[in-house]
Amino acid sequence: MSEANGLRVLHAWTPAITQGADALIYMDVENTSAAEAMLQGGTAMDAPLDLVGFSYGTSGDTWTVLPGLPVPAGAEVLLEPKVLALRWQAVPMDLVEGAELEVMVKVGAEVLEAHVEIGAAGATAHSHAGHGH
Amino acid sequence: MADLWANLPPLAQDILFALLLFCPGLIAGAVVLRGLRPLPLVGAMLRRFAPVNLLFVALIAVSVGLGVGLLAQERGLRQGSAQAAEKFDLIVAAPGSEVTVMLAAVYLQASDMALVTGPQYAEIAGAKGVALAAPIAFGDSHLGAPVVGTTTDFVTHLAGPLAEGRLFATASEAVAGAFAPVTVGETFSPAHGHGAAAEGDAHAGFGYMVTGRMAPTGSPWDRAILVPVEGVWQVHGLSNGHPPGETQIGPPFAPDLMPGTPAVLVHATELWANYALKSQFTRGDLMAFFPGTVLSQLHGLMGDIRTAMSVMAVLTQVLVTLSVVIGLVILVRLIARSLALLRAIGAPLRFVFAVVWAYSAALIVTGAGLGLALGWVAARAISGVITARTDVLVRAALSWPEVHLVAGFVSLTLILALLPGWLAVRRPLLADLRN
Amino acid sequence: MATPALLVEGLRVISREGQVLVQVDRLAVPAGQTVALRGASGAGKSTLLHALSGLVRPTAGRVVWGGHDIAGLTEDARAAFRRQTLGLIFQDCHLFEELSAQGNAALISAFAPRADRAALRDGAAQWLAALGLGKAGSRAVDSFSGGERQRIAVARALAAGPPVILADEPTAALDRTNADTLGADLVALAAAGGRTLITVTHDAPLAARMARTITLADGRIVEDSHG
Repeated sequence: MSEANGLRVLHAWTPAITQGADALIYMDVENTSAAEAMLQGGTAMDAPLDLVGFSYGTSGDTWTVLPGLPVPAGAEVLLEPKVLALRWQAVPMDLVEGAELEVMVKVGAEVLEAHVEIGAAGATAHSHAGHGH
Repeated sequence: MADLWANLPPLAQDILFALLLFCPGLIAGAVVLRGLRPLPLVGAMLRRFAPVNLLFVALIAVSVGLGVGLLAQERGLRQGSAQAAEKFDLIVAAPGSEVTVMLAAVYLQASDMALVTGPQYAEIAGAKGVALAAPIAFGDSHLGAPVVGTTTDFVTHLAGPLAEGRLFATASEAVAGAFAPVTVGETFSPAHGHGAAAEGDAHAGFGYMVTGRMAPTGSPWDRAILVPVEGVWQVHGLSNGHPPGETQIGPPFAPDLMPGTPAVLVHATELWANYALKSQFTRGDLMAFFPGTVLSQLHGLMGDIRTAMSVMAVLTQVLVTLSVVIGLVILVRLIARSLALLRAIGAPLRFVFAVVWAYSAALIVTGAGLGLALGWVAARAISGVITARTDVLVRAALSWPEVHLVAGFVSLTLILALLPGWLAVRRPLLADLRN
Repeated sequence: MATPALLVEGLRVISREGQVLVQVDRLAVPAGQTVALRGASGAGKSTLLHALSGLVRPTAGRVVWGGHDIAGLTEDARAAFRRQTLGLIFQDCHLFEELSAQGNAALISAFAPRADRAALRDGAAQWLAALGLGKAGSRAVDSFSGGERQRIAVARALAAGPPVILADEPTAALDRTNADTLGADLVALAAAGGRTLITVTHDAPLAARMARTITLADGRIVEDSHG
């Protein structure tokens, strides 16, 4: 299920990578329920997905694990490049452009299934970027 | 193997990589020189043709210096601009261009912008997780230095304790940036606008007294003058954000009486809250962004240029290497007579080969070493100029990428220097002896 | 090392253009003999000397020193032969200008086996002293006169104690007095060590000091006189 109790995961995608690298998975998380829900991370092939936040300093790009992120009632949180992502460390296989990946995303009490599109390596935006659904 | 490498600390990786790059050259040297002692002779030959050799060393040094300086400078600029943005966690502004707002709010390159209104500001300041919501109101200047309206909390957030004096306490007091063109105790009247278009007498009759000076931040804010945002509003004939008669400065502001501000700096109580706040204030009537993200994207774009630059630096280095080798082949003609004598009195070819290689190696290693030093000096000089012009503190120092570039260059050139050695031992002995 | 006798048989040196530079059917030089090679310019004297020293590889024939034919050896083997057997002296002394007199005289030690280096340096110092330059060993060679420079070159040729000395116009660049001194020195050094001395020369007084004079014309021996 990519939708349950007013919680929904949309437009999940990740750039192609080679085996052993970290995958950063981006998506929109919608909360149409009446209560705030906490985005906590997820799993991919039984491996943990950490919610990570981006920062930039003299040492370059840094991703820091966050304990969780509240998605207010009626609001939407965008996980996007150089802001927020779910990180899958040391992916045990190549992620090939055009293929899909199944991941589970924990939001509030729900575990939502999401189909992650694999985009071009080094892509900085979803291929649907710029047009709404 | 890959795991082992990945688990090494970065410094160890850098050192090992440098050694790895250097290894082929070292191995070539060890093989060529094993059991031989050509250095006294090589020293004599180097002295014999000192002017030519010095010219050669200088050419290598300049080319290596350019490559090294370019790399160091680019990194220094990148790190300097990143460091200048480090205190700016999250910026909230009216919808528009993130780059424009970042340039204005972080690097004080002012431009006309829509304002965040009083009620919007109150919503931001009151949001869950906000530790600091500081208005950043620019537009005025004094002697070319931007005069920026804000709050005392922002001054402390930006630069920590003052280096001198005290914070502003009334709407007509000011705190100077570390290198602002005013002194503590001085009173000045701000000009409206910036640069040549600034109207010097627009705010005549209104004066700020400088009460303190900030410690250096390495950012354009070092040349700015920070004043209470109320002062900026009053200078422009607007309400001061508080009920009439009140002389309080700083938050809270009365939402309906607050004239608005081009940008709000938001600092969150917790790291995660920054992301929640960005999400919360990314909406139709407001724009929230991390300057770090914008800067990283800009640097990412420049990264392509950087890659091109690195490729060019390496290509240049390869061309220089080829020129060096061709130069060495020509230099060998200079010492051909001495080499022929060595062969005539019984020197093995391997020894003659070693003499030529060691001669080349001496020029290459000296040139590369001087080039490293030259690159360091050039990078520092250019950094000084950039810092003076932009106030972004650029510290260009030599680091591992430069060491790797030079190690690779030296190694490759030492290997290629085998060629002049090989050509030297194939020269006609008698003809060289007679010349 | 015992002084080797020289035997040349059927020697031909032909230039790339096909010109015959040297054509010597037979030449024997007993160990310890002093020989002057004479002839007009272009007669093949220097080429013959180069063939004897292995600097030129003959087109045909044998150059046998003490039973070993050097004509067929590789370049490194011929270099080793020169290092061990020959002391070469050139018309132009060919010194390393930035080295001292001692550094030049001991040049061979730069590429000799490690174990021999000290002995070679001592030999060079002794020969410098024997040739009257003992006190000037540390001076740069560019501060010496022409005669002194040629004596440094002689010390270099003798440093390893070779049993054979081959000289190519050793006195040509010297004035009469220096030429006579050097000529006398060379003959005395050869006699004292039982060395073979073969020198190309235009200089009649030097040639007169030799036990044997061989005259060449068009690459051939046209006269061979003893005494």
